[in-house]
Amino acid sequence: MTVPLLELESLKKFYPTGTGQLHAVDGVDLKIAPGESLGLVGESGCGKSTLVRVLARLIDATGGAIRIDGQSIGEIPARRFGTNPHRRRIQVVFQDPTDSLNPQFSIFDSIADPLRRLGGKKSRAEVTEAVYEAARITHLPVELLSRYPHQLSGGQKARVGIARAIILRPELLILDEPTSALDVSVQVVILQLLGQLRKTLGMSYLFVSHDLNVVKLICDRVAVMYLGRIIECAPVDQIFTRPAHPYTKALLSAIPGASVEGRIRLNGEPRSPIDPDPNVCRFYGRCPMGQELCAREAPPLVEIGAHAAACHFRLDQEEVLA
Amino acid sequence: MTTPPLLDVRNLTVDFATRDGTVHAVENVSFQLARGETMGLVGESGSGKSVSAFAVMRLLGKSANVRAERIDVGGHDLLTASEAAVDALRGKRMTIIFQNARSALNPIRPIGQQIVDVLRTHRGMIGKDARKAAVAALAEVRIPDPERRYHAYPFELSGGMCQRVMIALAFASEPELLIADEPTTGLDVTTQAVIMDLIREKSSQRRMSTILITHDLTLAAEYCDRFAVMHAGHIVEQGTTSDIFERAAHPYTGLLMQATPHGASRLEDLAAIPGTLPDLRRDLPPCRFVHRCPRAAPVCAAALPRRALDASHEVSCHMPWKESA
Repeated sequence: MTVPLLELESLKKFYPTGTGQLHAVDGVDLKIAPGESLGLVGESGCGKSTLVRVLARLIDATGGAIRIDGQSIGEIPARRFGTNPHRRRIQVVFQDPTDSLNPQFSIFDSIADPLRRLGGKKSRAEVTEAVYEAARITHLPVELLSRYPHQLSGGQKARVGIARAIILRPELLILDEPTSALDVSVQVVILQLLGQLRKTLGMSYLFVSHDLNVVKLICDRVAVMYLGRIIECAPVDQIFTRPAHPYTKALLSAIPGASVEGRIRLNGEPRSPIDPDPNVCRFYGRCPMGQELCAREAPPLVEIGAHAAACHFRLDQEEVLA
Repeated sequence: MTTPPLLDVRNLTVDFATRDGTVHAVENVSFQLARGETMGLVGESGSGKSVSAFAVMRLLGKSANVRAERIDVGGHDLLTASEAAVDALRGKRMTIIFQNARSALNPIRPIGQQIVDVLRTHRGMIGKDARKAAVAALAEVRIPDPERRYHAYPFELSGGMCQRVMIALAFASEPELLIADEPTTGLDVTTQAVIMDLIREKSSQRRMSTILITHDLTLAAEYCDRFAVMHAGHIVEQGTTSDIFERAAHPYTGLLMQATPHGASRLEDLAAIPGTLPDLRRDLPPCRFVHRCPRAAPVCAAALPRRALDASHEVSCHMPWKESA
């Protein structure tokens, strides 16, 4: 990999609670290359959304580094990042297209807002032209621009969310479950739009989702997160055909209709994220392969080729050891 | 079917009176469900899946105008039954698992107590027996540490746990008919798999009939024997899982499957369904899919036929993909 567009190094975000520190994101290392689409999957509560919010610099990290094109942006306070020149390079499409649009803004104003705030001095004609262009490439009919969010369908609102995120031509687009609120027939259109936009605009994607079938369609690589840590990261084909971590295999087994050999059903609840024991594997207790070693020594994320996994008993290692 | 079906719904029509006119939510919907059978009721939002199921349970409010030729559960005629008679059946013979478990549970009552309420009302259990049975019911849906969780309130439990409590509640009265309305929407895939396995295991143990309402075709395919596909208030096609997946006859069913991402598909292979749902307040054409349909022909303006392709497979379409042999 050449200089990654985005690089995270042992990124941490802790929240204080009454009983200790909640480790929402606990030492995440991740790279996204220019033009690459990285999927981030994991169950609710695993820290995906916290990671997204730290990345978009909406909140401050507790520790670790965030670099964009090699330049560190992690230590800029979130409240000042709003006016930082790097701000426009990262944009977010939020999960719920209804909740994330200002109901009092016309669609035109919603799309124009990032440009007015971050686009520098622009004449009214330039803003109008940019909004029309953003609407055109997201296939949003121009007659909708004067309307308000409540007058639009779910699919149209999803397009507005994308249009306003790309109006500044960001290099990294963070997509936080962009289609989970949509019906399948609308989901297809939005996914195809996203696939097409990446080609024409050359953006990198961080695609957050819990739907592995969707991730498979849109991503080059997939990172699997569990309790604040990346436990596996590999090219999308390898994740699906040769998962290395038992948790990843359990996720794949849970896809309806999946034909996974020796499928794993997870029982029990995840370990507590409050002050977790650093020497115990996060998946211990729920893992069907857990052994005494896993409670003594937390496995680090080890890269074998392009395939990284954090497990003492990697499922893909039988052939390597033999 | 030689034995009478457990559930028999014939020509169910539901209208809602609203300020903006009458919404024709469900029209002439008919389906039967045999004992021990699981039927998937699938379709996009607004297709009338939940309204049909709620009408069967008589859960619709006063704004709903429900008409039918017959709604029959286990030999009880629900169409003409008094409110008291329906009350006696509802929760006991037939029960429902709601979509959002946390809001369906009583927030200010411990979950164990809520199960005891069902046991007392429907099975006449009281005191220690009821308490013991409630703990057993929690253990049955694999809630860890059921003795302690008996005293927990819904807000203390995760979404998956609340959904398990809902299932425990639904099974506590040992119903014959279970309606599961999007029971796993909003849950993680791993939790979804566990919950669906649980529903399947319990219903097969007790030969319960289940209607699974979902928008997720791949999920329904894994758990259902039979399917009814709904679009804009009509059942457009019904048949066994292999009828629907291997021999889809209605253009909408075919398009819905082409739009669903599944293991093998690539982004280019998925196809969108053209158009949107028709406005259900307007005067609607006989076929409500005609404006979106790639096979629409002049004949489609005629009254909608109900064609049996074989004993299990039925389609409401003038121009089906596969004609009967």
